[in-house]
Amino acid sequence: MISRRDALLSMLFGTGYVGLRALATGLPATVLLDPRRALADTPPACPTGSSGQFVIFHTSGSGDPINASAPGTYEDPKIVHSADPTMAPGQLTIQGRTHTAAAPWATLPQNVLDRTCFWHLMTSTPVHPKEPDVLKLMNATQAGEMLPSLLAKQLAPCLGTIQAQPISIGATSPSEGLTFGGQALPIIPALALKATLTSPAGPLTNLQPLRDQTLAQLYDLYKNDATPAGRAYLDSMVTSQRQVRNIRQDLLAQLASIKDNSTSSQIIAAITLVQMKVTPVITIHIPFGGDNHRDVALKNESTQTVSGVASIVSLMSQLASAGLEDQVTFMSLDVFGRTIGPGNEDGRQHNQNHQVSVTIGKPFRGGVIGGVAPVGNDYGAIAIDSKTGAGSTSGDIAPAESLASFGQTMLAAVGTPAATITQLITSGKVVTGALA
Amino acid sequence: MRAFPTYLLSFIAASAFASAQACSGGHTATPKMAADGDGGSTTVDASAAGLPSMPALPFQADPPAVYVAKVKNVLAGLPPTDDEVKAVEADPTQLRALIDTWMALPQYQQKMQRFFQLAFQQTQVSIIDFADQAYPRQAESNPSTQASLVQNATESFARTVLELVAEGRPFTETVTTHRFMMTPALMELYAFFDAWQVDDASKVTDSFKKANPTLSISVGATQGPIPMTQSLDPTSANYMHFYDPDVANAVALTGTGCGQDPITYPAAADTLHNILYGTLLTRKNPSGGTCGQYGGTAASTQFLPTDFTTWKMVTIRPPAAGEATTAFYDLPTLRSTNELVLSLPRVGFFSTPAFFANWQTNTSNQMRVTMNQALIVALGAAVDGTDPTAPSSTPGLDMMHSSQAACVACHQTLDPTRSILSSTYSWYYHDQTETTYGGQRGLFAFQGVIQPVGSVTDLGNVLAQHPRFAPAWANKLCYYANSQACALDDPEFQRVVGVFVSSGMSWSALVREIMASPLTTNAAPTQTTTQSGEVVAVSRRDHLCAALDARLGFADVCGRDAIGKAAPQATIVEIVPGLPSDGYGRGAVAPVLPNQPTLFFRAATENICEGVASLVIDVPSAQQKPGVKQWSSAQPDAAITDFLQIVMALTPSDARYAQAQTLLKSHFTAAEQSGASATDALKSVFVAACLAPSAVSIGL
Repeated sequence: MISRRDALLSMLFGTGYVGLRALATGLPATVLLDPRRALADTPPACPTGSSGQFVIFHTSGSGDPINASAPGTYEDPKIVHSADPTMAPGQLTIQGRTHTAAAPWATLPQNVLDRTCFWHLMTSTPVHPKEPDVLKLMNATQAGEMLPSLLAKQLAPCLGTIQAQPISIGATSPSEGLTFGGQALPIIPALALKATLTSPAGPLTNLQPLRDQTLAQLYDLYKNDATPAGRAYLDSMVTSQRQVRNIRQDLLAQLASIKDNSTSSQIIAAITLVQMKVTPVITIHIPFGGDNHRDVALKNESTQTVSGVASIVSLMSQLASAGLEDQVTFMSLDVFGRTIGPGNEDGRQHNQNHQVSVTIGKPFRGGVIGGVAPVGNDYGAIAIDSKTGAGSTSGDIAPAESLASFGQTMLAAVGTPAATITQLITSGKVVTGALA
Repeated sequence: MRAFPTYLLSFIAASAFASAQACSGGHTATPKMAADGDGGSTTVDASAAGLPSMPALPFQADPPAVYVAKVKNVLAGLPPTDDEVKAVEADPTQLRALIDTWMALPQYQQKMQRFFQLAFQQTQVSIIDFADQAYPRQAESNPSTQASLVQNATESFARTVLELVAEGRPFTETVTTHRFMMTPALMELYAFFDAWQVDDASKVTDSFKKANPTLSISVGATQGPIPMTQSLDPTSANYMHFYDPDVANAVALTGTGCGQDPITYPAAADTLHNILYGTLLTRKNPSGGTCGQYGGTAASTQFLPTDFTTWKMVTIRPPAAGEATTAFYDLPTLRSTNELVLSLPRVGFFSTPAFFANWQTNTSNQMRVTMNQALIVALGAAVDGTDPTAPSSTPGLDMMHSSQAACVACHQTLDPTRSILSSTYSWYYHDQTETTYGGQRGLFAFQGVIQPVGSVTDLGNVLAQHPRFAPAWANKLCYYANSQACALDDPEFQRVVGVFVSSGMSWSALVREIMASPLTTNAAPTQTTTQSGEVVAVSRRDHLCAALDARLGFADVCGRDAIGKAAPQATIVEIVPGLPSDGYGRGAVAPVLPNQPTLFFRAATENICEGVASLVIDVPSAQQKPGVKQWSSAQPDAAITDFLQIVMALTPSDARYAQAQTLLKSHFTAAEQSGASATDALKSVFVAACLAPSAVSIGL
């Protein structure tokens, strides 16, 4: 009989501290014990009824005014929208139901709209530095894991990606960067990604296998006298070398058109990373007006909403062209939304009570989830009926739980079992009404 | 046998991470559980993490070969010599003397400059970020000089600190100084911002225009070059006439009907500032049509290349009664003077244009971000609602926020504290003319210190005397050297801080002490390693680029110097922005430090190493860069010896040296046998050495 304590100690410190090294590196213990075998293993089957989804995740620490143009904010005439002609209120239909939104949203193709959800959420913070906390669903996730990382961990085995960690190619500052298992992940802009992954053809590349062999021997040499921390680190080097060689070089030509770090370049990079099965989750940054405290006549908000929606249209179009429209889900989550009440005609302030997330993909039944109502001096998200997704004062998801519920629903959307969801996100509930 | 529930395992793993985050400021890496001082087994207190107490791994000290290499790399990017390692092996106290030697190297200055740029949060900005201060135009629009000016702004304070350190000044002067290292171009920017005041309501007060209400400024090509002395001489016929060869092409550059030569503008400070940079601003032509803006060329600017490279210590002082402020456009004087007379107070790191560009404020934020970031930089702590400091009054408290219980905890200290900034500067970082804010000087209240402040000079003094100042800066070095925080209650850390304080806040004393400490060397266990473990980390961008430059003789292999433009290979320059870097996020006390060797780090370093290989092996003499090391495939053994010692930082006495040498030699032979040329074989050996753990990591 083994005691709980013995099991724990054995797991963490047995067999070359494999457990501890797994903790430290974020790598499965099986990989550390036998990297070759682990690589050869067939990836676990995807959850029942799910083919697994790659995720392209937009996030902004600026708190862009997406909530000021989205459907669900046009019923109350006091809500201030941009008066720019390009943002004129227009009708759009989602799953047979008509909604009013700023004109750019109506440019999404109907088949895309029918799988698009506009989530009226409350992030409960009005300050920029809380962006990492919002990605952690304001302390609702197990071990403080960020939502993109939770999704990545769940999806990696199912999708058989080269690495489990998500990749940030769009972060505009370290605040928008990601962590995975407590480790800060690097931000790799699109242009750098291209230069990083592209191996120049030539004799040096031909000598890679031989060099990898020499390096493997060097790793072993260094491990001989390394400290436990050093050995765990060297294990990670071994893993990353193997991962690099699993990257499909034939798809790298797609990155050739990347000339900058613009949204369009990020989209090209994200889709290519999906096709190469490098990672399950890629985060990008699509400007939707930014931190627009000073924005005369909401001009910048208008311009960037038009271009932002156009970027989403382009993303969906490129996914369809690549045959990936059913394999990739788009999600967005900003640190907060903006104030939308009277007095916001020339700029908007931070709104901790209202932020709109947009999700698009096969797992979703399109619609408007939740809604807005006056809160304090402005507007805030209202409760959500988890069964229908409708905003309702009698909804069973309170506004303060809407962020965690969003996270739970995202996990459900990619096929995570219910028991696992409640283990990973400790509050909120799945909005089944949003799921297809 | 009892099954162990998986949920519990997950919880334990999660708790371990949470604990590690708490201990290391949110940045974990590979933890080496530590032990007590005698090197024996001990117990890690894991109760805080909800873990059962468990025996730690036996402490394993790093040998001198590892930590001498680490310290020298961190300080100067250079590999150790065999003599240096042997000296420390024979007598570990010799490390201090070596550190002093390494701190005298020019490479140390370069590394510290980059460290200070980041630590004082003067980076992560582009020309767009200066737009608030130059409202409503961009601060500078000539593509040929933009990057140089931004680089001047971001380097200025780091160079100031280096100069203060060289002068033997206490490090606290970094928050009180009125002297700054500047170039003439940067002096012009400071003086221009002084003449071009923007208030909270975006209203511009142009003191140049006010002083010259009828003046016109013209710029032309036909007349030919005009000496600057004439352009600035009120008695000259060429007063306020400037030469710009681009005017000859104005139709093509700015539009049909825009061929006037000279082009005449009404006097305005920002017009003159832009003309100095060779920018043709938008204007109406005589027919009423609009002529577009043209940014300019290298030939059109009045600045000389040396105006961006000539650094000097400049004192900023307010004007005496009746005294005029420094004329921003008087470039000859700016080149010769060491003084700027400005009405806007500039004190310490927190009032530089780069800091302001980094942390832009607005009518809603009202300097809270500026103050919070200043506290983070100076004191290593942020306003987060946990500070028990209770000011007796709360001048400047935002009433809207004070009505919300969740907000009061932060605002009751942040609002009075930031008031000194909002009473001094407008939301555009010019003179505060709004009486509501201008009259409310505020009360500094943070982390146990409550003190009235009447000026930003007072603010600097309070920060300098704050008890958190010394540990904050010691800990920044912990992050820099060890990729994690030192435990504030670690007796060894406290000893180091004590030495720093007792030295009169000597930066060199702090660096020497912390680099020689087991906090950095891991030669002995410390409370920090007990709590958080040892970190072995990738050589992040600044360390890696500095090491490549220092070891191989490049001026700037990564292409980070926009002025020097010495990057030898474009591909490397493209890769470098994606390398893990030491970044700082808004409101974050700790830097963001990606430590793990991800596949992207592996791929990036491989491509960088391949690029470097092509620059150092069998390069035709005509293409060789002065100072850059060169190796010949005709002498592979000599090259491999250098690769081991210079690139991999292994000394001949290192236990790994002989076997590593054998591996590299075998690789060369095998590569040739596979059909590769000797050149390619040696390049491949170089890449292997360049990717070796000790070449791309800190702590191996």
